[in-house]
Amino acid sequence: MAPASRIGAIASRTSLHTTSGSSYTCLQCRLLSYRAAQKSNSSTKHLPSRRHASGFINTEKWRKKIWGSENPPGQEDPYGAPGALDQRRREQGVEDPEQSAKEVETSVEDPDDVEEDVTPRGPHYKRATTWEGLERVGYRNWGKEQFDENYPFEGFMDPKLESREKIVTAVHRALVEVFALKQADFPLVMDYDAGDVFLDNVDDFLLRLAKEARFEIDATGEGHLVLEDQELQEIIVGSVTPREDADEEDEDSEDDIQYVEEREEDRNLKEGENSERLAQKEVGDASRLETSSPAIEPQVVEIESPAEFETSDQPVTDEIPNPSSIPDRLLPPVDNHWRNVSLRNPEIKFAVLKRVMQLTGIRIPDPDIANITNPKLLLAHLVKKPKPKKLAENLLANEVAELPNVQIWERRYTPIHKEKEIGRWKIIEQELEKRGLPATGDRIGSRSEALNV
Amino acid sequence: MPVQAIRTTSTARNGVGAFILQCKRLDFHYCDHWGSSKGMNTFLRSPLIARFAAAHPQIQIHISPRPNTHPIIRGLYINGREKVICVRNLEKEQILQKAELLRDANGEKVRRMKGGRLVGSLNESVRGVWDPFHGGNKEIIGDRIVSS
Repeated sequence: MAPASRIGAIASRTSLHTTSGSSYTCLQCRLLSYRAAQKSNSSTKHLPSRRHASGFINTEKWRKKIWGSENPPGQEDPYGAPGALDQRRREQGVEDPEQSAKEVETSVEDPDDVEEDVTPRGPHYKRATTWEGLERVGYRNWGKEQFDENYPFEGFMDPKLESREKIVTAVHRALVEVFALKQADFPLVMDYDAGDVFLDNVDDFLLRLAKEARFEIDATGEGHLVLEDQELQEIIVGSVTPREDADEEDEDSEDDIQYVEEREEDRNLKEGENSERLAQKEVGDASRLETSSPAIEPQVVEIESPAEFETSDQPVTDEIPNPSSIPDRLLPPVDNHWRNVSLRNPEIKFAVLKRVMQLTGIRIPDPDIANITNPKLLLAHLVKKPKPKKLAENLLANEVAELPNVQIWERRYTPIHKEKEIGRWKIIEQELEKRGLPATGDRIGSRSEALNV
Repeated sequence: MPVQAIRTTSTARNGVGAFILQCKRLDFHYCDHWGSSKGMNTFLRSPLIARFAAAHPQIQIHISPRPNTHPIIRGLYINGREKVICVRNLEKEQILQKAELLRDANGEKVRRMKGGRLVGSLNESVRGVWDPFHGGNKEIIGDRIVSS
């Protein structure tokens, strides 16, 4: 039975939507009849492709004509050959005609319905381990379901610093560190970011940098770091270079992991915001601290113990009796020459920029890096301009405000102000209240109350 | 007791000494955001306003914002009238000129003097404005005018 006549027979059986007097059949009905034909005819084997399954096009005839020979090269039906999915199915040995018919049926169905069918069916189902050969990965809303609120996305950079003072201090610190490394003939760029792991008291450290680290600019424009004592340089260098203990250990990768872990612990302890997460990780962290603390402690004590601070720098400790009580106080660097230190040397520039990005969490776009030649220009990229003050604020701080015949208003001068100056406002207000009318626009509620009464 | 003449308390200066500036107050309104207030804001930040205010202690200077509108200068006069000039998109020097214009105005409506008169008056003189050369020939001897 020819396919067309078969469809016609089924159409008559299933009462297809045909327009009266015409042979046109709508697509939906054709699809229905096609499925019915597939179900009714169990002898229908696996159909590789819908397009050529019916065999309407005799490709063999055209191939012979094109090639001009009875035995044209290539496949017999180049368009009707089984696709990758069919080949895969054959490899898996799907021979059951009903099974294959079901599969064909699902392939004909609306793709949305297929997507909703989340759980795979069939005895030959094998979970894919790679996406090779898969038509799609996951299903609708699969990506959202994978999202876990307990583990939000964390970028590769630290959270951005917001405070202007903190950013200025960070840039100064980066500059001092790089120049200290240069003086000590260490490599300027470290492979990892140690954070503040090696610093016992970061605030003390920053205060010392602000007070004791100065820059001198020579005639060529190059800057030179001048530290008041050698001990500060040791502390600075020690805070960014790998520990000696770590060198003795076997594998560098383990060290790096340890550094990252230590840093994470440090950050978590500082933030103290995500208390739930902290509580979850507490047990693990505690065990990690126990394991990592023997490696850290000797170094910290060696480099900068509180006793060293007291003995080496008495004035600073006098001024800051209890640094823990002033955690957010940041002293701007005393010396202002550091803003004009040349960053034209690419090595120094790269090291400073990398360190600044680590400390501030602010990424500087590549095109801007070329224009940065000193810390002043660097700060211009990092620090937002302060919000422009209102003109009234400026004027009130200006000499104009001191003149006796000048009045400056911060708000709009309204008719109410005018009436008040004349002394008429009280009377107006009384009369309005007497009539249950609002004196100003914000008393609409009271007016409605008055009207109700 | 001899009769004493009344002592003069003021010197007559042909009306000039009693001059009172007609403008009593100038309001400067600006907007913090609108671009048309740029010149006005510059003017208010500049020393021009301080200089102007110091030079005219008899004029009260009001400076207040008027958000989302064009900047204006409003002059209030002792006759109870007021004059307003919009100074949008003007430079600070131009704004100073407008302020001076309002300062010099008398608050009256600007109207044309008819009949080629030099002086406007509610009670106009039939004889016109007197001057020392009226009535016969005069001779100027030294710094005096003497009728001949």
